[in-house]
Amino acid sequence: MASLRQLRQRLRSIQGTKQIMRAMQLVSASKLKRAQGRLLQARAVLGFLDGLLQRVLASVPALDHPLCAVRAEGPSALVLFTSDSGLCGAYNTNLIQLAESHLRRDTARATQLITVGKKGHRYFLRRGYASAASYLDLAGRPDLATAEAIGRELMERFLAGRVASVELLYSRFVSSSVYRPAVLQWLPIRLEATTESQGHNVTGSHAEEYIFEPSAQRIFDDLLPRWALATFQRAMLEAFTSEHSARMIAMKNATDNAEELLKSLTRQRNRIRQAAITKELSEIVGTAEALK
Amino acid sequence: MADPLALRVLTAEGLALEDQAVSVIAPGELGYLGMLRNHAPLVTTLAPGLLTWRRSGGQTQRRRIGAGLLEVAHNQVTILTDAVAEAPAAPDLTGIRYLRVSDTGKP
Repeated sequence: MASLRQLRQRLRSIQGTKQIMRAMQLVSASKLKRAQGRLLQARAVLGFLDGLLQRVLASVPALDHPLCAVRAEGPSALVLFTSDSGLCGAYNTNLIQLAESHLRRDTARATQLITVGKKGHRYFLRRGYASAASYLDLAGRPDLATAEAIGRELMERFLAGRVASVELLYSRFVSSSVYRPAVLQWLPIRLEATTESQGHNVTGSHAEEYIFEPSAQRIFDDLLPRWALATFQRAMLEAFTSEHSARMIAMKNATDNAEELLKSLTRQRNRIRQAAITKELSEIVGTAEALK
Repeated sequence: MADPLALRVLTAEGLALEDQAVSVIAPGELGYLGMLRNHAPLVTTLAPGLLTWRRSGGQTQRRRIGAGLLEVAHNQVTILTDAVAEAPAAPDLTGIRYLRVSDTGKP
């Protein structure tokens, strides 16, 4: 059995850890709130762009853009969004597992791995899978300018023909306690997929005649890169929001565990202390008896 | 009279402003265009310029906006732009009238 002093030391250290966990939980909660707000805004913007795209396509179906170009040859790229720091439970593990199974599946075509966040980058570097590009130290901050810069770079990579397709692997934020890893085919943009999903809308309310100025093609050219960037930004925001949510939950569990541990250790300490007191008392009484 | 046009301005960060307007003047790529109630459904690209709208109370609001897209349909004007900024104050034209009065030569 541990001595009283050892127990006290352990109690103190657990108390300190618990305080840190609680602080981290609170920080994550506030970051989550901010990220969630941004995410909802981004979803609204993307919703508007989605609707607009469908209306343009419904009126003039035969539009073309370099971002939609399907190439049979060439490597594909997988963009993996992980966090920069740990202490967020199984968040990174789940993403990395999905990425690994994804990479293993298409061995025929050399997939370029592009990582956002240190965790994924380090994991694959250690396994000898160097990433073609990596964006580190974003620290879960939902900075739209950075997201746009990265999105633009990836779009250029695609337009220059260095990759034939780009897929995004990120964690989709469902609710503040649920997030799921998901793979999204980003480039080339599949217009059929975007219109088919809401096909009934296209034939229904959006079938009315729109005027396009200067022309449908010009609007399409302007719209599509915006749509692509908004999609990318949304994916990044989803990832960051999920990260904060995961960290918050992990830290909450850690705080709860620390509390439980504290409770059992306190009980143990009290028992030992009581035993010591009892022993001392009986010694004193025994001595007093002997001196009589 | 009820406000006939709903105006919404979005940027990449989300909703930048929302208002009700009687008329909206936006900087289209081919030139400024004005919109009133029951405008035909229209989508246009925007050039950087001044967005002006008039509320039902008569006040005129102005903002500078960047390039972007505008959609009007069902009395809903939605603008997606790169940036929104406060517009410089409208020039004060009251002084010009006083100038005319003094031009007549009266003391």
